[in-house]
Amino acid sequence: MMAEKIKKKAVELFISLFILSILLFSVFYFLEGDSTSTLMGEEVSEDVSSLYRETIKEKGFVKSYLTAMKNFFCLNWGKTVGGESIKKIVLSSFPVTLSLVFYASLFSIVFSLFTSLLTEMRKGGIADILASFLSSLFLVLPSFVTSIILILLFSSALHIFPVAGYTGLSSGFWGHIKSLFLPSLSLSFVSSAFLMRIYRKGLDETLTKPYIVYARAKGVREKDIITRSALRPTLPVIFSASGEAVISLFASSTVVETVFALPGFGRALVKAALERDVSLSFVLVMITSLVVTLVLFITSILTASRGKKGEECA
Amino acid sequence: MKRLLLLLFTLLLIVSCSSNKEEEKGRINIAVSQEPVTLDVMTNSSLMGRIIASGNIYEKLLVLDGEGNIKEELCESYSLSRDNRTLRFVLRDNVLFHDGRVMSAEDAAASMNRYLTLYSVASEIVSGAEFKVIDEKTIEITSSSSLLFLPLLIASSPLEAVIMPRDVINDDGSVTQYIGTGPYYLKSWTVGEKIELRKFDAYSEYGEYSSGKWGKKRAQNEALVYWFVPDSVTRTLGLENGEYDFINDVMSTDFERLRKNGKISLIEGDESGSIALVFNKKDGVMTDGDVRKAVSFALDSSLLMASCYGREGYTLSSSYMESFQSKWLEDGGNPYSEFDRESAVELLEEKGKIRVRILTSSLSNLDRIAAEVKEELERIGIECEITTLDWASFVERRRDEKAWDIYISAFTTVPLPQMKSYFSPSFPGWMEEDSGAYDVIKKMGGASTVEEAETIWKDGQPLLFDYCPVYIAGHYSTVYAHSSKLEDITVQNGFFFWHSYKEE
Repeated sequence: MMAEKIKKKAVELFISLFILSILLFSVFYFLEGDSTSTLMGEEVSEDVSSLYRETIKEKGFVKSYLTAMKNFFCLNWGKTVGGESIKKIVLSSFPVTLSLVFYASLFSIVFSLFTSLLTEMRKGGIADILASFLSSLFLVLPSFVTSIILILLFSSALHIFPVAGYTGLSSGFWGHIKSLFLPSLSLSFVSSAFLMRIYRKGLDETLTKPYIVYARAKGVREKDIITRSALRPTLPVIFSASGEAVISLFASSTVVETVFALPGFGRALVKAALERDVSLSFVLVMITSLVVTLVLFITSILTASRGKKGEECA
Repeated sequence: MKRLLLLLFTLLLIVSCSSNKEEEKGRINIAVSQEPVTLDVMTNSSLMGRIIASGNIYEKLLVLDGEGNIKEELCESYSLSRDNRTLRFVLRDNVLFHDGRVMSAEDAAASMNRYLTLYSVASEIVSGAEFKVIDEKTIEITSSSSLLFLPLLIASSPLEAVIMPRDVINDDGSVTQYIGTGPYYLKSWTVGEKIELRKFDAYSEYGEYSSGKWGKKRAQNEALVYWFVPDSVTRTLGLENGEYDFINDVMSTDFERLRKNGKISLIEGDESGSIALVFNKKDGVMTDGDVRKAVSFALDSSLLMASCYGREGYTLSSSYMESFQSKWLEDGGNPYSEFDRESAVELLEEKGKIRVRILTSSLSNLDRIAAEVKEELERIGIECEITTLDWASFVERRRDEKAWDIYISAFTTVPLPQMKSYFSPSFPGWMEEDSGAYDVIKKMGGASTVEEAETIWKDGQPLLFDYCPVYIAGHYSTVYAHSSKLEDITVQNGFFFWHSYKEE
């Protein structure tokens, strides 16, 4: 049963990746402008630049697409317009975004779960009101605003964290955490708002189930009802929402990377798109979509397995 | 809850106590707004690449000193034959490349010939001739046309005539390794993060201390680190916080605050280029000279520049060349650049309904100028439509003469008027070859002395003004800010740290 489900999901994953790759490639291929205008100045002789321009577009669409796909899967990613190895760029920028998204997810999932449980225990209490207020606030504040507020507070006034820049794990754990603390906190705000709402709704729904009413009538403590009886059946909702949140964090990391000057994936992608660097853009977007589909795959499997157990439990 | 708060607080305390970013001695941290596409400054004239590479990593045969005189850098001497047809360079001895090899005449010739193929203006001047190796320290070029301006081009063209080892130039003309003879070598380039230059110990100094790009460059700093920080708020806060020693592109809204800070100084760089509205002289309404003049009359340059730059960071002047190039500044200024709405309306009588398509790029807020142009032109009854594109699409779109009537772009400074690309019949804008105005440009290229070229330029001014090929809104300059601990920064079309050091 489970194996079949995984197989079905894997086929879905493969098909969606294939369609995506064609879409992506045609966008890059048919986009107006090419890398010649960014690489070569206006002062370069027309003979030289037109020769260069011809060499990029001499192959047809289908042939270029097939070569690009083949090269992508053989990890033969080539070089950027500027002559830098694409593999090197991916290897240096991917860990940055990955750690950023990891810490941000950790922040938002832990924070949302904690507050949702707390507020469910004391409905209408101060914590409840505060939580609703915070979640609305996080939802309306764009992340570049929260980023700047955080920098002003923690870096300019208190001097606890650096204003910008990234320190790799290899040069010390504390430095690493310090450089990513504010960015991931600011990134986590948006998804926290979303997650808090979903978690609470999920818990609320479970709490109306007959067996909860029964447990209450039996005199089980409210705290135990929520943390033991209600949490487990709500897990499928929590898993799928968290998966979606992680994906949205990937997408919105670009803004935070720009403000905090982090050398991440999002910034590399923006640079690649503006420079019309087809090979770099293609590799970066393909990796992003691979990660996104993979996260979706894992969460759907988790949700499915947990869902079954949840039912048994009920 | 209380326990959790306590835990969080201790965590914060531990983090804040742990060691700060390692303070390396003699390391200057520079936050710049843009990341260059390439450091091959011979193919790409973007200012950031040149600021990082030219003079630091690479050196040239000739450079300009602080007063704008041509001086020898990698050569001992150079000479131009009496008929201006032969130019000869005698190279300096024992100049080392970063990979340890000695610079040879073959290296110099190969680099210079690459420059001549790539740079359109230079290849026109030499009309197909090439540099040849005469002996182990001499190279020479002989051409059928006058080489009078070639030394100036080598010293100051936007595509830089830098010298590199001949074997880093690939067969297809591309360069993938950045090796030069400069006082710093490229240590690392992390895309999206930083470029780090390190002191080159075997660097051979020359000349005396000077204010410009020429002269003794002592790398007093172990490393120069250029951080790419696109957000202006982050750059400013980073400077205030001491993480950066120098930042570029300071926003005019931040001037007041930074001036009040006693630990920070502001420098205004010289004019680094001009903002021009280029008219389409090949197709559409702008082929009519009267309409071009009317548009020039209708625009208020002070409003245009303010819409993009705010209160500071630019000068209002309609001259084609920048103010420090005093030789080439015209007397009196362009009569059509005066803001005169009545004359504009007069010129447009009997022209009927006019619709203008404005093309611009989103680079450096030029679209704000486009919006202001639209507003001002609509006041005299010209209907406008704006298209804003990113740089790559903009460059492609403007090649199509059917797609636009006016485009707005920034043009970096060039050493000679005839090198302004908008004066070329083949560059978008397409100056008409049979116009009297183009004769002026053509004649300047053929001048046999610099004085003669100056006279041609001065006498030709009325013809150019009357032809009205472009409208110059003003000249922009960048404002930099640095920590007061950092002294003696060289500012000449960019910022350089050859003489500066950080007080510890």
